[in-house]
Amino acid sequence: MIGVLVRIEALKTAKRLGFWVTTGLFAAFNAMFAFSSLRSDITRESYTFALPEAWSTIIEPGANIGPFFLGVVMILLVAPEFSWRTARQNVIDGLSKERFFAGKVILFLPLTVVYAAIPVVIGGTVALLSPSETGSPLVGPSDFNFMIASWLGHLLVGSGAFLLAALLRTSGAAMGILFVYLLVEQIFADLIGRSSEILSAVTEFLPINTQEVLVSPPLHYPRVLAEQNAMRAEQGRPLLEFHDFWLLVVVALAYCAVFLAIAFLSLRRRDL
Amino acid sequence: MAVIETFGLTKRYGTRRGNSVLAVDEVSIAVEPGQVFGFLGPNGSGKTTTIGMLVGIINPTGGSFRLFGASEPQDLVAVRTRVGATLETPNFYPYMTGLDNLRVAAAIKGVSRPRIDECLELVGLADRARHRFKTYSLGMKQRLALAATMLNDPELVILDEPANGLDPQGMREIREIIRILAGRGKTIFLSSHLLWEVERTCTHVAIVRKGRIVATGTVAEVVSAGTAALLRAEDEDALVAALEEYPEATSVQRSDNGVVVALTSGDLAVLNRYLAGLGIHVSHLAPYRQSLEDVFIDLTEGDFGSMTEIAT
Repeated sequence: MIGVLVRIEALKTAKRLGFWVTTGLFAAFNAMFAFSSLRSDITRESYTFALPEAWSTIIEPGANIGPFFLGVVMILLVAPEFSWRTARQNVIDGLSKERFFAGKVILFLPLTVVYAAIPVVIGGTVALLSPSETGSPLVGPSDFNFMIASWLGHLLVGSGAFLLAALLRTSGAAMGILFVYLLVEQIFADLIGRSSEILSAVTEFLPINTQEVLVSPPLHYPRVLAEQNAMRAEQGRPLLEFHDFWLLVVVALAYCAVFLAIAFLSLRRRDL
Repeated sequence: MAVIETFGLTKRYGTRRGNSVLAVDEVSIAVEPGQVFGFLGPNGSGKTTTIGMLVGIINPTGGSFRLFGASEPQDLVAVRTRVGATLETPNFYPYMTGLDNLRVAAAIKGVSRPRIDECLELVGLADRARHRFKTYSLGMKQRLALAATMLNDPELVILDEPANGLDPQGMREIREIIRILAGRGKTIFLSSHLLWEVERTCTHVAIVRKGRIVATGTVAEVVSAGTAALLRAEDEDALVAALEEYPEATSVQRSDNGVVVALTSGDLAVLNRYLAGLGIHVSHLAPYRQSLEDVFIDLTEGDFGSMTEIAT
């Protein structure tokens, strides 16, 4: 059955122009960033965009913006199934609601990997073109953690978008709510965080905040953390402190599981 | 074993008191193998909701049903591979071609590519198979839906208003396809507004009104369930007024040939004596053979009242 679900979702996705446009824009963004970094290196004759040092520079922009491109893609691939009533037709044709949902999850998980990999592949390839003679594409433990964190960020925001698409069942409304939420989470966190320390601690684990912290280079690179804290100390600003990386991993996975579980229950309970 | 059996199947939308709608109200029907079963009712009478429950897209709020004897969710998923169904408007991916849409349906049904081509040929869409679905006319969309329905050569074919949007030629083709399928021993469950078509095509019917079954049986049984008479008199207004007061009359309608009265009892001598007693002497009084449409209108009368009022 998994093979059938893969075939169906691959066919639906491969023919969807919106998927290719959104993914193409994300790839173009990463390519532009990588080439401009390389060009800047060549102009300044200081080769900082060379591997392995450049991995954090390569991953960071994609890790920040990629989840939202993926969110848009997930909404484009899930919500219209309800507005076009094709989810209904799939079930009439013999797919159970559970299998329909499984098909979407089977689509979603590889997409998170693809989106997390796009900056690594494009940026890594461009960085290999650097004239620096010391370069090596070796991936260190911190780089690897950062890549995992980037993937988790995609998983977290993507599953949130999946949930919105499954609940709201129209692309426009789901995208609207997703982007409004991106804007208001910080405002909401500031407002309720002022009322008590406990609430303030809780707001640190709100979804977008968790994703942002996960993809902060200082969390993964002690050298970057030391540099930034030294600068903050000079400026008299509070020093950066992070929760344990694995705690953030658990929180991100828990959000993903909860979002997908709610989407599943909604699909099962509601009529198509 | 019945192909479809429903036992008090019920669907209520909304849960708040006073704000809920009873769309399907304890519907119990049985469709036996090989029957061409017409499921008739005015708009909003619960036909599509009933079919939706059978095909698994709407969760019942009461009662139960069996498809090919299966009633458990897992078993229903398995037996639905023996069903081909289309509901209301055809639902396909607008950005994909007709062929690709059928490839999706075929993958779900476990059907090979040659069968897709056969079905496209059967519904006359082979030439347009590589055009996008959104460029299709409504008639072509209906044909594609029919092709998707037939992909797995189903034992049970459920068609909800299959003639919607079709021109007379298309309707004729649909009727022909139904006839061919019935000839192959398929069981067909057909919801339609085209009563004349249903009367010609179906072996059995159920008439549903406001979510409840009001008549069911073979077409002949349903048509002959009530008795009707055709009457003519010099003073037709007085005749109509008298018939409307007659206790055995269920409906009175003027027609080109006189006045048609539907009766609960078939004794026309009693009716004649009743009219004579009122001083109304009829020039014509004879049994009137009702069509399925007459019976349908009698049984669902009142559901069209508001439209008639607007028109007049």
